[in-house]
Amino acid sequence: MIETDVLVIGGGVAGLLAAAKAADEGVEVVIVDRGSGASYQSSGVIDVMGCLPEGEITLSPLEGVTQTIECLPQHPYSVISSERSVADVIKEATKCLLDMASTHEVRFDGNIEKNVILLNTIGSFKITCFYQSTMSGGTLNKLDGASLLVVGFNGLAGFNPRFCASGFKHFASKFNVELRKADGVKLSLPALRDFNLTFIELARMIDKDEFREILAKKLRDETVKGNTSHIALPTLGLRKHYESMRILREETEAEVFELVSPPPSVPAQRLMRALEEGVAEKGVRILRGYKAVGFKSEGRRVMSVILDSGGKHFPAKAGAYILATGKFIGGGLVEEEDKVKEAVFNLPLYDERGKALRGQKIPRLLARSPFPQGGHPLMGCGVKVNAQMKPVVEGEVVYENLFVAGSLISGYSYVREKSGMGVATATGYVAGISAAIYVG
Amino acid sequence: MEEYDVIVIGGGSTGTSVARDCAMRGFKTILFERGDLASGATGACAGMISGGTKYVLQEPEFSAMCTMEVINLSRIAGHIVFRTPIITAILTEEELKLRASFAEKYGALTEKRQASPILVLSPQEARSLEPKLSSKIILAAYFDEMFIDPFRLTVLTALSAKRHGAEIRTYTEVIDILHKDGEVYGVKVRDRLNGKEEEVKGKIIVNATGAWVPEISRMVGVKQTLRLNKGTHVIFDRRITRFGIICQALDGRTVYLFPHETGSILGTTAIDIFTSPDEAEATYDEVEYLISSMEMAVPSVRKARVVRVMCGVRPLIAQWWVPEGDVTRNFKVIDHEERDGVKGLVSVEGGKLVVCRAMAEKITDLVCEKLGREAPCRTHLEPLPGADGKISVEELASKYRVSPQVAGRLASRQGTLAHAILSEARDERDFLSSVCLCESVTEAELRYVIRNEWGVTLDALRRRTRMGMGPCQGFSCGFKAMSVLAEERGIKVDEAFKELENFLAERWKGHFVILRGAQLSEYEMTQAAYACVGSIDVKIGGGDK
Amino acid sequence: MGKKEIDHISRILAEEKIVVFSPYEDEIYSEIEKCQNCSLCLAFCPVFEVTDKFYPGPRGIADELSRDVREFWRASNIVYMCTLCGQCQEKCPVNAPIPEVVVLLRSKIFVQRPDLVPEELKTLLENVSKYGYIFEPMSNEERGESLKGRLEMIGLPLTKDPPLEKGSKIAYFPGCQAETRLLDVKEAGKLVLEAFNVNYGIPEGWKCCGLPIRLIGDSAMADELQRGFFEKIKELGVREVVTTCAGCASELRAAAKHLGSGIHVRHLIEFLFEEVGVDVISRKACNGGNVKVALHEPCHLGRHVGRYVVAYAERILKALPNVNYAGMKGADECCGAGGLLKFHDPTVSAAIRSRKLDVISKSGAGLVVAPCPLCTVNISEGVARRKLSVGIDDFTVFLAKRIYSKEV
Ligand SMILES: Cc1cc2nc3c(=O)[nH]c(=O)nc-3n(C[C@H](O)[C@H](O)[C@H](O)COP(=O)(O)OP(=O)(O)OC[C@H]3O[C@@H](n4cnc5c(N)ncnc54)[C@H](O)[C@@H]3O)c2cc1C
Ligand SMILES: Cc1cc2nc3c(=O)[nH]c(=O)nc-3n(C[C@H](O)[C@H](O)[C@H](O)COP(=O)(O)OP(=O)(O)OC[C@H]3O[C@@H](n4cnc5c(N)ncnc54)[C@H](O)[C@@H]3O)c2cc1C
Ligand code: SF4
Ligand code: SF4
Repeated sequence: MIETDVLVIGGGVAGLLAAAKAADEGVEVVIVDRGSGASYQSSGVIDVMGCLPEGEITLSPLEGVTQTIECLPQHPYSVISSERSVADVIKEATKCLLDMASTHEVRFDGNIEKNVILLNTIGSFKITCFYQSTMSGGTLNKLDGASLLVVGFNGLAGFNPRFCASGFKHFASKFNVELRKADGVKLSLPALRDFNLTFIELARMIDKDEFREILAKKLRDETVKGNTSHIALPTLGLRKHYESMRILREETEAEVFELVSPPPSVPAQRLMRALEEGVAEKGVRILRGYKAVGFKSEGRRVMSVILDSGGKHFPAKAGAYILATGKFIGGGLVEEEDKVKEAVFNLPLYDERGKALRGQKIPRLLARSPFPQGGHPLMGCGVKVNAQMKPVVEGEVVYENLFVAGSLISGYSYVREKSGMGVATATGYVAGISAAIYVG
Repeated sequence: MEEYDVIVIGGGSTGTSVARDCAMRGFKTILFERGDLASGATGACAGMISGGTKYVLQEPEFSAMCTMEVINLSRIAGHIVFRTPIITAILTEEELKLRASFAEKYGALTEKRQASPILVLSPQEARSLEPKLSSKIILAAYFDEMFIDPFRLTVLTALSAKRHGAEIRTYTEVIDILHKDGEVYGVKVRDRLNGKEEEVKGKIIVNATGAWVPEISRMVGVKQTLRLNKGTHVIFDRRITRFGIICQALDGRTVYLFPHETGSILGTTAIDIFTSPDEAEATYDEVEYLISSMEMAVPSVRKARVVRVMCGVRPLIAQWWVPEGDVTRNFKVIDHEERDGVKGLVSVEGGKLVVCRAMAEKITDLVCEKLGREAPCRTHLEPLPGADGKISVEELASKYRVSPQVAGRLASRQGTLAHAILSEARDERDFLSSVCLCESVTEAELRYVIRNEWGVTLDALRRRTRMGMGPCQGFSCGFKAMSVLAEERGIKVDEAFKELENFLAERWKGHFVILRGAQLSEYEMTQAAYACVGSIDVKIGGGDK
Repeated sequence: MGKKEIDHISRILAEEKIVVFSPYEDEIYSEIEKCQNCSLCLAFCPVFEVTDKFYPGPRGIADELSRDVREFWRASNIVYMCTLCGQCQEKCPVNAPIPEVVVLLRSKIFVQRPDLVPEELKTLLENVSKYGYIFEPMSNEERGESLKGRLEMIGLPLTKDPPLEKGSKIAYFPGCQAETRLLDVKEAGKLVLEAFNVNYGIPEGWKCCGLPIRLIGDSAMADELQRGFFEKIKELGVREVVTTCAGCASELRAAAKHLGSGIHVRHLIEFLFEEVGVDVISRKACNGGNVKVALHEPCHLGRHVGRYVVAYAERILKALPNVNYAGMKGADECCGAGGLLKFHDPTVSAAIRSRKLDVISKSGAGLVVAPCPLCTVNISEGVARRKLSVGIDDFTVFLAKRIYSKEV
């Protein structure tokens, strides 16, 4: 029923980037997605490389990349650099992503030369490379000497501004940044649910003019009271975040910024929506509710992918296929008899160091502590690819017209490295080009 | 230095019951628990409080005591006692013969006793009651058993003890027993949260440390042997079956799958251990043994969502040359003055959760005798906190304007204490936000147990409220609870994050042994949330800006 | 087991509030336990967006309310608010079947605490018992007049209902809405089937498909009705059902499966696409003037039956001569009528519809077609109230017009 040049399976960041790039190259692209994956759960900022292999933080992403691929020759960053400099590929790929986002109202700041420290809604920090410009006012380097007010809301569950304020002071000092003051306050606004308020509801409220006005007034009172220079909010809105930021800044004369948060993250939803609109604008069709459940092949060619919709199966035929189904959240990797399995093509799996998994049971791939220094081997498992992102087994390409992108790829653990979206973007980009070249 | 009449070591079901009884009989009492209340075998047990059909024949007297205790517990802690209907699924002819002769003997007894009857079901009847049963069963039997929530029982017992004047010190480890001339006169303890040590004097020391009894006795040079036997449980998200299921294990023992609260509990193994009980761990093999066994009767158990495995060590009386199941479940109160010539030291071996009150009664009788006081035991008469009345969920919900779900879950845990908890949120509606969504635990409840129930660590909050007992195992509520705990107890930020790490590490122990199906997605989510967003694993280097 | 034993067990079950699930229910229930508590669904739930203060959204249902299997009644103020649009499930990382669980919870509440079932819905249930349909039918006179008027207006002939007989291939199932309210849909359905020479009949004495009954919570009655319907057509040797309603299609299809009836149920669109083919359809449906058409994708078709059906609809529309197909961003968003919300909380339902109307006005289409009479009525009402200048047609009626219109 579906016939196209390139079929992308999975609409996370990797799939979207691959689709965008392939469409840019002038081929027809269709994305199928069964639901959502890690991209929607992320905090909506683009990590490139935040930590060195020993777990130490690095403020230079590219330096981090260089050191990492020295240790891990199977790292996707290493694999994509066989023909060109990895820095160039990452730069081009992230530019492609950021351009698409910014034409749909999600603008980013930051550059590939430098990592920044952002503050989060837990009360600690996050290291990243590109961040939404609603967060710019709050990168740690700008907070030296600041008098920070962390603003919470009565009723908002899972965000404790007072604790966060003391957390920020504590962690800032570890980076030699002295916050002159950090206070937390909970605003009582009758328009809000008085308990179990969620971030998404708050964001929608801030989008509304009337509410924003009330909020601005309250914030102004608070800033005057506390002689505040910076204001941290858990969210600045879902659709009108720039407007809100501008108005609140004008009103309070303070640097107003947004914190990053664990799921559910409003900035991530913004980003994903922008990217989805971006690829659609490039003529890519996104088909929701279709799950790839199998495939037909002849020799080393994939002939079609079987899609399930409402229990009915349809073949989808394409010249090239891009598999961007993610890891466990996405559903690219699943468990069968306590072992990991690639869900659609049953591709052979490898670990972080490039060694084939030989039926190890999952507990064997886990460390005994939840956040070990070297990470869990399980998070480094996935499909092994060559420089075109074709899956390989023992150096041989498995299918000529199949390309893999994103966190399904082995050789790295984004959890340990803080490199998730960066790798998804770069590998998606390369897979998109490779697939377009293959069919074109 | 103050002197206590009684020092109780161990804050499991036994120790807290002893403290309660002693306090109720007017003794100046202090209890030391090195971890949290119910952090030993008590917290790892299935909570079944009937005598167990098996023991009706093997140990009729003990069994009668259990029956009596079920009545007592229902009287004093009715809100945490519940009945579970159970189906025994019979899979083979041999098993049928065994069970039939058992049922016959058992049946003959039920006439005389208050035990629940066993009813024989055809496979069709059994499957119509419990559709998840395998079509391969050849016969089934129905009976029912009573259960209790072991965490709440222990905490409420401690609360009651406190109300009668006892002091309860959790996270305080007894590191030595002070003794002179064959007489004990106190203990040396270390506060595990701040490292401080002190000495506390007392006339009688009750060693109620379960599997650790020999370790305490060794402090005064007394050799005491128990048969330490490890048992493992697998905890599932949600109720897999509506009925409890019992069936034969792969090795001919018996395994069970009980619905419990919002989950299911599958158990158990029985492995004699010869290392310290501290080292006991649930293993993959045990999990596989349990699941493969239960799978015969309930095939879907293999696909069900495992959220945790846990193990405990049974402090059995040292009987050997028989399988674990045939060891007596009765207990022995030991007067070490009589046995070893150590005056003032009393310990207890064996026993079960169900008889904790009875064990305490015996021990306290001995304490009375030793301290020369006559006071009757009243622990079976006075209700535990929260059990002093009925509560209407609908009224509770409308009075405090919370959802019936929150009100209901709260009432099932806290009974009438629910009023006190929700009224804390009268002026701070904010406190009604749920911290743990899976178990509908509000911030108000957390604050209440921090203030009133020795909720000093996240782990302690979990035991009291079930926060973090759901499928995420505390990974999605841990950081929220941490900020509440830090605020309430004035904990500094770095210590708070350390506490969070400890909590997650503790949870992880029961997690990583087996990660299946949907748990893998949850695993990636929480790994990334804490590491990518929370940077919990990040080493902060040189400090250049 | 004798009576005494049964009584004993029943008493214990009642005391402990233990509700036994059917294997089908168990299957649904074991899917919901996959919920990761990530809250993503909240951003996609229309009810959560438009209600304030008490609706906890799909996450609340998946993670919290469905957890305590003994006390389902506690979810009663929540589960009747869900439109069953399935938008949460489709975006959920584990595709947790929230709509199905909502139906499951409603059925348990219906048994456990009938007093908590909203009154408005009970009235609908009474209609089914009285008339066999969810709405009170018009009197014969009224009906005849209304029908004549409608058909004249749209230029379609009035035909007799062909009864389903031995030898018929297809049982045409019009559904309550088309039988009692949007009468032209049923007529159009017949005309379309005739145009393609389909050997069909309308089963005598057919009643409500069971969906609203199930939504109210009476799953026993729904099962009985459906079983009866399937048995009846099977007696005539008929194995296939075609319907023009999205709700009937999804419900009968699911029922056919879980009752193991072996009946193949399809929406007319699916049937035409698969059995007739786009080419033949476009050759027949070649009349009528130029029009810019957008498609409303009913939740019950796109998300409950499967996205492929709306893809079929799109393919058909694109192929029709003189039809300029306009892709509509938000075509798949709920119109607010689902889950019986419209009857039980019209305000919230209308607020959701209002979002849909925004989508429609932005689309620039002159006509929106909806392959479901319920959505059609609901959206038309909104369009009339807001005085939008866009036309709304049921898909089947639209197709019939394209086939029979005199205009070329
Ligand atoms: C909590 C969390 C926070 C994070 N924070 C950050 C952050 O702040 N910055 C950062 O850079 N990275 C972050 N990451 C990492 C980052 O989100 C991921 O590495 C990245 O999004 C992976 O993208 P992907 O496209 O490869 O996979 P996914 O986003 O998982 O996408 C896979 C897609 O494939 C679809 N799919 C799977 N199987 C099928 C099938 N059979 N048929 C059809 N479709 C299918 C899924 O529905 C899904 O939409 C975070 C991750 C998590 C979990
Ligand atoms: C798998 C399993 C299933 C079971 N199922 C059931 C059942 O269904 N029904 C039933 O009735 N019984 C059951 N039991 C038995 C029951 O759990 C135990 O018999 C009972 O809980 C023992 O309680 P306790 O207080 O004596 O020991 P524990 O609960 O182990 O308490 C001893 C406490 O002493 C503390 N302690 C140790 N050393 C020190 C020190 N130096 N200083 C301070 N404190 C110290 C420990 O931290 C511990 O909390 C089961 C046991 C197991 C292992
Ligand atoms: S239902 Fe799905 S989207 Fe909603 S919280 Fe659960 S896992 Fe997340
Ligand atoms: S089915 Fe629709 S209305 Fe119901 S919870 Fe899901 S998104 Fe909300």
